[in-house]
Amino acid sequence: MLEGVTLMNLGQTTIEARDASKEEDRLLVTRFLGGDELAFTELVNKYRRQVYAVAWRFTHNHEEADDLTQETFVKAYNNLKTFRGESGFKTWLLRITTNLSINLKKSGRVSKDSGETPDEGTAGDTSAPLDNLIEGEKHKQLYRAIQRLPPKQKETLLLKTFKDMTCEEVAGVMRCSVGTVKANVFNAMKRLREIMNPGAAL
Amino acid sequence: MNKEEIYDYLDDPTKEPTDAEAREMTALLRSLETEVVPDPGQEYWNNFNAGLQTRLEASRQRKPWFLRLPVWMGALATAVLVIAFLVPMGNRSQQVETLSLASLSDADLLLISETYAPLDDEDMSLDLADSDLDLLLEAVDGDDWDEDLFEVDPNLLQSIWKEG
Repeated sequence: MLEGVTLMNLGQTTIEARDASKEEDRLLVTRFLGGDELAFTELVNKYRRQVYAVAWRFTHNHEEADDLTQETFVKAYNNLKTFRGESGFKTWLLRITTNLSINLKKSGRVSKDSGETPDEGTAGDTSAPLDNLIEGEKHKQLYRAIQRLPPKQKETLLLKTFKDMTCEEVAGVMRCSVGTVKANVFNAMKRLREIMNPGAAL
Repeated sequence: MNKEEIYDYLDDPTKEPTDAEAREMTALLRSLETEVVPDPGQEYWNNFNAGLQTRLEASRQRKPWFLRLPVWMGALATAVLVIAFLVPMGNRSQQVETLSLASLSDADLLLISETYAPLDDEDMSLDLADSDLDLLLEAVDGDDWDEDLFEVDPNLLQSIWKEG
């Protein structure tokens, strides 16, 4: 009971923080549209890590993630006047990242080594515990399996499992209903289980 | 497997499914959620904004996509636009013509047919006054005018007409 109350309080705090963040974004966008370039820098500083993380999850490659992150902000800068504020700025920004990563895949410019090369950041660390290495290998296997999913399922799953993104936010990024997000995640998970455990009964 | 349990979990991760298979799925989801994105390092972030600034300046100097097209593509696009503009205009004028003829009433059609009908001899004779006829008869000196009328000097005929 006590645990339930604590979680409810945490949930309330998260919602409040999210609303405050949205309001802050709205003010920054208004300032930028009024000619204040520094407001855009603030938006970049606030979201660059999240954009990079989403881009990396799509590509598993630093160069491509870097390229996608920079291009996301270039597009945001050039198109911010068309941002109508129907969705949050974060949702709008991640939609740009998602679309760019889809286009990158379609154009075939994605490195063939994506997801296959050992990550220097972890593999080079000889002091990493064995558990971390096993966990890292498991994630690589998962990533390879995710690459075999249909595009919509893959993108929905990667967004939904990114940090604290809600189904509503993913629906906003993917421009679909919340029901479609849930169905895509469910079908993706079913397919992932089939790929990773071919003998598993479903 | 209870799909609804997974849907509930997606809405609220604190709602752990009761079904074993569903729990296996949520465990897989959590595993994906915990995937650590490698930090590219502080140096990367320190240089990020400068790199972005350079890229923004390059994008400002970049010509719009339609100015970067080859000349022949521009010419082709112009030709397509001109054709697209002219073809409907031709169709429209044809349509207007058809519509105007179709919209004529019986009375209009009767008027048109009367106006453009060939004139008979009786109508032509009405145009000539008796004095004109006399003058004509004098001009041909009482000969059989039916035959000689065509031999009359045209200048003479014209002067008679003017006097009349």
